[in-house]
Amino acid sequence: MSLSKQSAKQKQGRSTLIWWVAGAALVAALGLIGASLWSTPKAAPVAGGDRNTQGKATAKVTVTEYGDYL
Amino acid sequence: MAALIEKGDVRFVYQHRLVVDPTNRSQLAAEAAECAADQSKFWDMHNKLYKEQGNKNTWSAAVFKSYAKAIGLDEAAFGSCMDSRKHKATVAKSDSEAAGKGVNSTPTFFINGKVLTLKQSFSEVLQAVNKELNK
Repeated sequence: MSLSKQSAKQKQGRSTLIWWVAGAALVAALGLIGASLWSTPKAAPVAGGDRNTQGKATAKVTVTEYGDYL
Repeated sequence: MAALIEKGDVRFVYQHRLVVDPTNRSQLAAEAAECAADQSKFWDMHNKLYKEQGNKNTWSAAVFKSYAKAIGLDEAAFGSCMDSRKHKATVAKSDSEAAGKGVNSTPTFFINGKVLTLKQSFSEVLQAVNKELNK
């Protein structure tokens, strides 16, 4: 095998390795994103009296406004 | 107030008290807010209604539907909610409870359950809130 052919084969091998590493990294990244989305707690659906409420139930002060939009 | 809510110091609750036109526009506007709440957009409609108060003489179910469109609600679901008067009783209950607490004018504020009679401006609410926070 000539030196130039050997060098070309080495280059091709390196290129394939880079693609494999990039592909594996992409799969790992997508896996992490998926796992993160799966494990992130979703906000509970707003229901009942909470729908017209802002702020935490543990707040020190509760302000209630009685209003008429007119 | 928004900063205090964000910080976790204050919880803000809005309740309906129909005093201006209780059988018609006040009631329908409150129902519009409740129908928006079904789509988790109570505050968007709430703010829209206050913003549009200059047009309150034209308010009707049709106008509220146009507001729903403007704030990006599911128009069909909102329309169905308004047409069926789904939240007529919800609003009436809030109004009745407010009346039972002696609320006869709006806006009336309660700070940790104690009524605050506004003499001049909303800044009095902030003062009362800060007083409670510093207790």
